[in-house]
Amino acid sequence: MKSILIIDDASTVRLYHRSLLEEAGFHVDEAVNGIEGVEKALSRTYDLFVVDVNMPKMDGYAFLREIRRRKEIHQSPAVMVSTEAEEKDRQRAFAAGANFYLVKPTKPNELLEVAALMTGGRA
Amino acid sequence: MNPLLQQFITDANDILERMGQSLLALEKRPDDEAVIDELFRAVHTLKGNSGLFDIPIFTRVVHAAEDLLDKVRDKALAIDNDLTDELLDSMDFIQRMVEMVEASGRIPEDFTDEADRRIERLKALLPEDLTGETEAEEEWTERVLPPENLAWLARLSDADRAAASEAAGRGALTALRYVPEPECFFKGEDPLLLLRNLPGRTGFVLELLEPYGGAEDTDIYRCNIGIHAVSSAPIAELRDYFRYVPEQVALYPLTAEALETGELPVFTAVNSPQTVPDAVGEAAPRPAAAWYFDPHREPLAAEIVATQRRLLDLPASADQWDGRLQAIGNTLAALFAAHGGPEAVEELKETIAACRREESFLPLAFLLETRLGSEEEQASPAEADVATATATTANGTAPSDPPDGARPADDGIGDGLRGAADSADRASRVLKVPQEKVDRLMDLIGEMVVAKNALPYLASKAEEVYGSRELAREIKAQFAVINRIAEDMQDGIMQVRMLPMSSVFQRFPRLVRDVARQLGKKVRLVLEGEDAEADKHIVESLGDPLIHILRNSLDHGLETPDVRVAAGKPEEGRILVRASQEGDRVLIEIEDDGKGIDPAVIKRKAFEKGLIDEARLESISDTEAIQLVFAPGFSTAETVSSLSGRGVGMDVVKTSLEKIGGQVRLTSERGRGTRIVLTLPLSVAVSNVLMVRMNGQRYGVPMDMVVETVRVPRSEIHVIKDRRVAVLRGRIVPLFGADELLSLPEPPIANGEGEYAVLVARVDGATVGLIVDGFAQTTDVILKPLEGPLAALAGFAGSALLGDGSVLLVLDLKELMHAA
Amino acid sequence: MPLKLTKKKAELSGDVLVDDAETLFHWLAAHAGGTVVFDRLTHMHTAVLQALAARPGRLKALPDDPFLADCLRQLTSQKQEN
Repeated sequence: MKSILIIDDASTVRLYHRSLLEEAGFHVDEAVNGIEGVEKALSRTYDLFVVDVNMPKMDGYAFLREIRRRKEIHQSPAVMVSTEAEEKDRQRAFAAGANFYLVKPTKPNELLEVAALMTGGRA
Repeated sequence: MNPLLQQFITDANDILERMGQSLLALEKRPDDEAVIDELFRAVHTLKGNSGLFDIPIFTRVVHAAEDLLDKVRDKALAIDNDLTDELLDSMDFIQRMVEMVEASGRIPEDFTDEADRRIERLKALLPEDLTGETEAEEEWTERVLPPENLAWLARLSDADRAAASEAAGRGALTALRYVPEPECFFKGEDPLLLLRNLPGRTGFVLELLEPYGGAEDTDIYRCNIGIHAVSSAPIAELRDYFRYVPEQVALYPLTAEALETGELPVFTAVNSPQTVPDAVGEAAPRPAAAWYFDPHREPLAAEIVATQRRLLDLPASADQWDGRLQAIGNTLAALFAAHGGPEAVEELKETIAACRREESFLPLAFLLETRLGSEEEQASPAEADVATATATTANGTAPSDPPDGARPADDGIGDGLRGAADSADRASRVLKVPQEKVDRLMDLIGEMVVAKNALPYLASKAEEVYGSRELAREIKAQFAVINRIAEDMQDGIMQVRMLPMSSVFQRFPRLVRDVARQLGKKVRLVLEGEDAEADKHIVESLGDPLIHILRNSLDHGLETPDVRVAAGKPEEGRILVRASQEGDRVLIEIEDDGKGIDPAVIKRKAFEKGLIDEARLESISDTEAIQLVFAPGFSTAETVSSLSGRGVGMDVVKTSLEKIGGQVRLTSERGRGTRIVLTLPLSVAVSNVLMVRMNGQRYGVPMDMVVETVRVPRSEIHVIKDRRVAVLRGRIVPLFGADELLSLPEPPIANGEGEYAVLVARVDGATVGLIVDGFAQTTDVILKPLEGPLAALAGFAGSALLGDGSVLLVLDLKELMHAA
Repeated sequence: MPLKLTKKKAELSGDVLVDDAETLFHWLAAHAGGTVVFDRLTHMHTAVLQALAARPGRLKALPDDPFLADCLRQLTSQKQEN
């Protein structure tokens, strides 16, 4: 079973993403900020990170940079999800180490397809 | 309601509450960046959440508020009263929309106009456009990218170009594009010095980004220079060299061939794949059968690959370089496996190894260039077509085919809720549960408490009807166990229902602030003991009485600043609300340092309103007199103001507190202030009672003792040894007249058909009948022990205040029967 | 003094620092006929180069330092004279 870590401080968004992904058969864990995300990522291998931008304590950019810096963390693909659709926001996400960018609210099909493609199959 | 919408509403309420608190905190400390951040994040989250649902009006209003707060965060806008008012108003409006969504799942059309007006108002508060400045800043948050062509090479001097060619023959060359940010001089940077000392510099081209027009006001200190350069140094060394300005520098490999032709193979590879240079050609051999990520057939897969290609053009800092490479590699591995099978993954692995060796993303960039595009655009369309089709079907993972379970967001999300709620708040180890669920659980536990009471009947039935004493004993033993568990459950649910006072108190700062501003008074509200807990029912019932008391303090208690100053008091009034626990009671004190209550005024008012007679007017003490404010129909204000006069007086406060078993005490000192102390039980025992009528009076009997209510004809009531009995359902039941038990003057009255109303109850395992005048409805009451002189009365479980304000005495049948 | 100014001539020598850029720029604007000469110039700040680029055609000769000569040649359209 493919596993996904959702890092987002909004519980509604976590619930939404989690429901979709679990429905599709993924194992899903959650973290409420970047720090918790790094901690979780250190504890097991995830096949994909779904990362929010704006979070307290450690935001999504800092989380991505931290993950990419750490040799002990498996370097899984990361999708950044953001309410902003502008090019400069994409650019920031990619510069921080995201592998893909989705605009919130994510469309269910899109999120599932991206998750399936980036993790190598349907869950 | 679907769980996601429910979660949204729970969240939204939570967020709005937090925002309200933050806004008020900001009024006191306008520069508190932590609070501003918190506020911004809250509104940002709310906007994001609302986007999940089809409520565009909501999203737009929240968005407008977010824009405003964004400016506050950027210090382009200062928090002031007007801004706070507008935001608080908008939050109220948003709250109303949340309520509409909760009630009907949608926002009515007629909200649109107000929403538009609000958005206009919020926009009007935005500062004058500072775009010039901000745009310049934003421009430089972007990274410099490699150029789209190598035209600049033509501007290299022949000597430099020769040197570069010669260097290229010896090993890899790196080209760089360096665009210093305009403000770099002020950061102590000297791009020319960086260029001068560039390791392995073999040639460079300078250009003015904008030509100097010769104007007098030309800003010489704004960096206007762009640099192209060629270096023979390893790319890693260059990356390190530019480590302080990484976002201003793009490094990209330059091949001998590119130097020759002036064409950049990386960017032209789609149309001319044969220009793959030797160096990387080895690492990325052309696959025998081509397969492509076709943007028309599988747009998302192609976009992901194109994104990875793009990532490879971005400079990465040295410590993140390998992580980035691996992450891109892992992203592609999944896609390559689906398209090209194991060979493709192997090829990918080798290419990534080549990247590591060369410390460059270039090999991978080349590989991706050959994999992007549709087969029509590629060299051998027929072959590619077959290959793509095979790859797709053979692996059964056609990426454009959405996986199972993909469906609209508002469809029942189902079981996700439990898991989400579980881990959503794991951080704080607090579970957010909708109130109805707790209430439902409470109801169920209540039902179980009653249902378990059937077991003793079953036990005696087992013994008496089926003659099995053994079974009866076992049932009784089980009953004892279930009874204990039921009690624990009741206790447990009571604990769950405990709420901190803060859930009521948090409404106060806003209220006090608004009212004080309206009245032109200055008030500091001090809240203490918000952590004290009491049952949800108690805490919630406190809200309105407390608000009323506060409004009274603001309206009648506290003076206007000038009056206060004249009286030698500080200009700012003070209201203290303090909660504390004392044994099994909660105390809430509301204290103000206002003008206090004048007993003489109260006495006169009470007399004028006919609440006291002349004799009482003479004899009443000042302390007693001020308690008259609790008398029904008393209102001290000359005119009913819009603030405190909601048509209710302190009498309503008193009554509603007594309903939940509370008491009110009021003390006041003229000129010094007023103090009101509320005493409340920590938790409430809600009892379901059946009301019976007797001698024109109502009494309550706890429902869990009631077996049934029957009408017994006078003829069927027998007297055996001066005891009345009746045979009910084949069983002899002793009957007691309520008049006997309660020492009432009149015996029970039979109805027109000569039937008596008999309440059959189970007392200490025995079935007894109580003859009353008649039955009324059942009701939930909060039982309060009898106090004062009444406490000596035997036979009563307590009293309860009914909704109509009358007092109900609840019978303790057990005690009454023993006495009988 | 890395920057010496007379009515007819601006002389740059040694390391010309960022602070001199503005002075030089204003001198170039005020003295339309004045020329710029270099004497054992070792480096000039980017801003100084920009000042010279903003008022082109005022150099008598390029500096001896090949790097600086290259920079000036590219930005001031000054033909190479050596």
